[in-house]
Amino acid sequence: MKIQRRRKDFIVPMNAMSDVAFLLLIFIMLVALINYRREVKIDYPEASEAKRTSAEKNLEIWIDETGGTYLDGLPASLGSIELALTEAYRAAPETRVHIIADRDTPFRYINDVLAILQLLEHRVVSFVVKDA
Amino acid sequence: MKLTRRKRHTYGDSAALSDLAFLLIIYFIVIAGFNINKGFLMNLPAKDSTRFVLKDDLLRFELDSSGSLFHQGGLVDIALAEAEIRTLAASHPNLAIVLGVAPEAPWQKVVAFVELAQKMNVDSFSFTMTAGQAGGAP
Repeated sequence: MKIQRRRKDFIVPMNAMSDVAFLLLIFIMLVALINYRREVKIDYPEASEAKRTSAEKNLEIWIDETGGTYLDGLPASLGSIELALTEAYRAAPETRVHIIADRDTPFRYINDVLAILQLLEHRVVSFVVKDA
Repeated sequence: MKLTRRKRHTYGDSAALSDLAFLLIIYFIVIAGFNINKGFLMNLPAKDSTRFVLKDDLLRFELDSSGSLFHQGGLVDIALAEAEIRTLAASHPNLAIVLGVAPEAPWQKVVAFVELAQKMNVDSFSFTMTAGQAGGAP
């Protein structure tokens, strides 16, 4: 008589998934810290035909409604913006400058920043908007 | 004699973890798209640079401090400005548009005109501050 052996149920080992999930959590938390944007109240201007303007290297100049200027989320004077732009441009000439201004910001404040960019001969500038 | 059965190693019930990992990946892909800036690229000319444009090729608009758009002294809206540019662009291939912006004009109105200029594929578009401090934008 032939003795039939009971087949074992095939089980996919998935214990490692908990490790994967844990590593992903750590990774996401780290990325969230890197991309953390400090709280600056900016109501973006709207446009329906905006294109993606982010480049490999980016530098963001924020201008709030009262004319306060920020560099990558930190308060900065026009002088320190000029200094930071010079440094950024020296380190990576292809750095793209983004102007993120509140929709109600008077133009003269933006003009001040543009004047610095012109002085430094930083040719291409991105005016950031949100989709209408 | 009591026979002891060899214990089989079993894996815990961890099937739900694959779902969790999948959701985390989706979450990450979604938040990765949050930091992309969208807008308009503009070329800035060098400070105090001069460009010669034929008078007939020049189309000038003014934006006052309340954000109202004017052309040849008359109030126009964006749709009218678009029609004007379209008409003139047909007969003037080297059309140059200049926007004079009042210092207190809201940024949204300037952006709206920049959007119009880019939509119309105007090669030569510039804006400058009409009063107040010197050293205006292009």
